[in-house]
Amino acid sequence: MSILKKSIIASAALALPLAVSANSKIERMMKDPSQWVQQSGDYAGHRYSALDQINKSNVGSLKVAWTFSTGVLRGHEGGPLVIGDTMYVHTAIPNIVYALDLNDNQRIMWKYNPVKGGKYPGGETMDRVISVMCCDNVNRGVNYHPNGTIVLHAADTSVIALDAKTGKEKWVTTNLHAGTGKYGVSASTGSGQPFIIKDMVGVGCSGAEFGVRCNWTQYDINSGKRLWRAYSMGPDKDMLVDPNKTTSMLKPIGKDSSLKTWPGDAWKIGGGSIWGFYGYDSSLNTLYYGTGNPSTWNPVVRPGDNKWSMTINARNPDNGMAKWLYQMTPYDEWDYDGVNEMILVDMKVKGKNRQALVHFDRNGFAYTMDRASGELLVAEKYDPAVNWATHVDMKTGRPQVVDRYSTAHQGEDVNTTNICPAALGSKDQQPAAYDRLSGLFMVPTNHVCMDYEPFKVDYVAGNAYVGATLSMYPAPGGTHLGNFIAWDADKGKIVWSNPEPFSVWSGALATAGGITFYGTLEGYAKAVESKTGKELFKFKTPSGIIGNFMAYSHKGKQYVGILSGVGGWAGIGLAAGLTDPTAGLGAVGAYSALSNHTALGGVLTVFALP
Amino acid sequence: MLKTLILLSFTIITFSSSLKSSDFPTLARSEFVFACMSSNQSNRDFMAKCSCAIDEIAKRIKYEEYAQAEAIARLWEGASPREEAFKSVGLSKERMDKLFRAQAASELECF
Repeated sequence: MSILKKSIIASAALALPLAVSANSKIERMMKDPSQWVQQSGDYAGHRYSALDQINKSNVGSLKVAWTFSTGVLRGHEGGPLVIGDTMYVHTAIPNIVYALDLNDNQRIMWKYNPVKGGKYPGGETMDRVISVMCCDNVNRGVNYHPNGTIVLHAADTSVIALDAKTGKEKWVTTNLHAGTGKYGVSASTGSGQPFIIKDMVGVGCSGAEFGVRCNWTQYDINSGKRLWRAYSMGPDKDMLVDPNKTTSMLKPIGKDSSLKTWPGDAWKIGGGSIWGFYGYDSSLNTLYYGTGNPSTWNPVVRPGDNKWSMTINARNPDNGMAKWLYQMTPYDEWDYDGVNEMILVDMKVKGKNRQALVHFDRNGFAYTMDRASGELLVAEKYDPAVNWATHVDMKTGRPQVVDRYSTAHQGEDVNTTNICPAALGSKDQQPAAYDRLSGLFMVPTNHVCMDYEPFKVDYVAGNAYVGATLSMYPAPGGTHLGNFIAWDADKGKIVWSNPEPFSVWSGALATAGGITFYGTLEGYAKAVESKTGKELFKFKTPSGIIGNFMAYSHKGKQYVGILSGVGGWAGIGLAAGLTDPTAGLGAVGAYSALSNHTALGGVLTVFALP
Repeated sequence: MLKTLILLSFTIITFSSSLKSSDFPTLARSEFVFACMSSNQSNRDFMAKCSCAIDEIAKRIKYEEYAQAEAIARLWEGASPREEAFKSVGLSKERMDKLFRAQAASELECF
């Protein structure tokens, strides 16, 4: 391993001067805590704010400074950006982008809606796109390039470059196509953030529930020209891997590493979607992202490791070539997508300084890897309930699967019960934060188990290709469905854990004030002491929170912002049943009456000290 | 007849849960009244009925349970697998049943 690692570091060192100059402006902006220039705050995915005006001694008196209604219903993931005196806020489908003037009471400077005449730029109707979204109408936010561009990755997979000052389109290109009728291809959608590196923007794709073959595609930020595309599975040339130089567990992956692990042509609809939060290390010039589940959810029809689904990818962003790959869940039998965020931290692991990558996977294991070499350093369960595998074999990197919980071993049309975690994973996309003060990772988690019954399903282009029936419930021994935990990525141990009634689906933010923010599905915005988990602040926002906290400062004052918005407006559902109990929940008709009074749905709540 | 029976059973529940002052924030009550009026009629009569209803609900369940039921209701409106998942969760049923009982009782009392 040592020789290999040295050679990688040596080549990275040579690439260093070029990378630094191309990235210097955006990286300088990321270091300025008054701005929030990237969805994760920085390339390392720390979600850490160096601002300390709001701290553990005064956070209890935090007040709402202002709110902003997005006017759009349904799930609001991701979060706003702050560039200078302007805030950029995105919404769920139709994926509106607003620019707000922080100098002028958040006046709307411009509003951009990619849906015109009911259609997205790619030509598909909004209704059609919604029908092939797997998991609500979410979008995980826009990103910024210092040439004055805001980039949106819209639900129909269109990549849209907007002038940050005016909101005018600079260029639009549709990455993949969402429909069947017109294009006769499978149903890809876009929900992940567009990721900006140097003068490029890269996007993944969603749709592993619809039998797509997903990929990462890189575009030129100035022209919108496509630079490269790396598929998650298929022939070596499609995946941009070098059989001799690309490694996995420190060994070359060899020829046809993916093709050998699928029956026949199954890789062509193999899934492997990419829609989480990514990382980039400019000193190593490496992009990090994870690929999702293989299609279908019925493992019986796709014996083999299904490479490279469920894999951490380390790639050269200039040409897409893979440096190393690590498959966390070979032959997925539970829908444990490997898409979760990549957090890059230079830290001591087992007494040795490492350029580490920390990843909390859906499968319930937290991985600490050497991000230069791809060496696996730590793989431990971050929820004690996890039972589908006993442990990860550190020599092979393979999880040791328990037959009792193997849906393939139990077989088709058999209900495999009490599997932990559920398909939602011990954590879904909701990103963790790295607290630079304590060195701990602040992790929002699910504490849910499931019964899983795979069944045979035939693939029809553009239609759902799931092939499993699931039911989910709290992990044994409790009634709560989530925990917010602090994790030690060196020891692979939970430091503290706060139970939550529901899964924690919001992204965390750690700050230099010694506090960490997160949100809950009931709509509580919470602040806890990072070292101990002690709750210091709690405020009820208008809806459930699945967005990610961010912080900025304006005219010397620190602010903390969070998007709320889940489903419709529950208040109406609960109240609408009153005169007609049979109407029950979801009285959609009443929304129209309400819209005369208020903008419903997503709300950005911004807090500050009084 | 049926209505009387239901009323009777709710009276028992009401007694057993003791009518202590509830912990509902005014904002939560206002929001309910606003939604209730919007989905029924926006007039003085319904302001009274809807206010009565939320007060009756607040007597019967804790605000924390109401907030959880509200979260579950929101998830039920979604159609994705993660929302679907929560339909089968025991906690969801329990919370929603409790809310439905409180809601039904408030309807009998106020409408």
